[in-house]
Amino acid sequence: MGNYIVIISAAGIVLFGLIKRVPVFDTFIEGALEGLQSALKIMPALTALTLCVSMIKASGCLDAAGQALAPIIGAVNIPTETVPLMLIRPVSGSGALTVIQNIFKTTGPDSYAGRVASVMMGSTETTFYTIAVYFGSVGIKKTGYTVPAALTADLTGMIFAALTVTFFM
Amino acid sequence: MMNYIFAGLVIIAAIWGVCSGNSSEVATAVLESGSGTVNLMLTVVGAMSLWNGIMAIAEKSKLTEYATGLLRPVIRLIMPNLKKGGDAEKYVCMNVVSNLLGLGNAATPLGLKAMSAMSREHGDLRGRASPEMMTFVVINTASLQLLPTMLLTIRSEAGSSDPMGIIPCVWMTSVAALTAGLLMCFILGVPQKLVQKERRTRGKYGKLHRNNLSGGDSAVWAD
Repeated sequence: MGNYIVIISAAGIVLFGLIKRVPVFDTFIEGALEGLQSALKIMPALTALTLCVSMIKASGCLDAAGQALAPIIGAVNIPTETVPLMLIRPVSGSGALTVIQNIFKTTGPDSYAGRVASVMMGSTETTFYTIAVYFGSVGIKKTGYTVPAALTADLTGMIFAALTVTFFM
Repeated sequence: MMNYIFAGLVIIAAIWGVCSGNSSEVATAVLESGSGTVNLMLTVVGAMSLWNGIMAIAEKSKLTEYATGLLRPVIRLIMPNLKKGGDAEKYVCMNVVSNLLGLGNAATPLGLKAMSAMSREHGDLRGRASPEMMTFVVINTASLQLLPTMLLTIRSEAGSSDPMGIIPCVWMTSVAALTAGLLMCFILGVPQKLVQKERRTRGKYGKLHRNNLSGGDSAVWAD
């Protein structure tokens, strides 16, 4: 099914653009350049986060944290390898990217941990960043119950990532 | 906040690594992290460039505006207090559609427009978020992307035999997370709705009461 989605999104959008008389090639080039620029813009942040994530991983600190949390997260079958991802995902998108890359490297993308990490990554967002940008833009400091509600969504996502991979894959 | 996270991780790693006898591993990690970033970038740059190109076509052909109509009834259900046919409703719908299509570059500016339209519609907010704003931000903090292109790219780059296999799970999980977030918004919003209702009833008995109440802490939600 996933394959069809990719094909349909790519070909369907180009076809739709053609019908609407959009100069598809030129527009693609413009957009691609913009994508290149935004990718380059996140590179310094990626360098910084790769540094601290690979250091923390090499120090053995995460293994200790994972073992400490194992009884809690093991209850819902969440793999311990995904603990760092769960911690960094709401705070930093580039950080999460670095962490998931690391998980893929150690356990492989098709392992249980690799699949759960993928689902976690795909179904959650950089919560705190979004809250800061959206409310900041209209000068709102008192965000009411936004943070608890958004974190409930994140936590539900983390738990459901493990559940769906266990039961549907 | 990122300053503390960055510094904290580096310092904890250094101390932990030295104390637990992993200092050579930590040193290697420092030396190799730069090239690790470049490898990650090689994967990410191409994907971002490609999908941004495709989505630029979607944007220019006004695909988002067409899809907006389909979404309006759902948005009205979730955020019933938005003015029907108003700017806020329009931008909220367009933002959600852009998110679904993975048009990150379009979604954020539209989201910010939606926020300012909501703040205009609401009038006197005094630096406090309205319930609609909170619901809207929660929707944006849950990932609604139909096709997480970046994730699929790094999965196939890492040698996955079925990079797309996770998509049904991603959808189910996204829906569950969003439902939990909205449910939480609804539950936590109940006290404010009660205040609002009480204020409306008390308002009937004259302006004096109303003034007293609007000085109160939680009465600012009401129009």
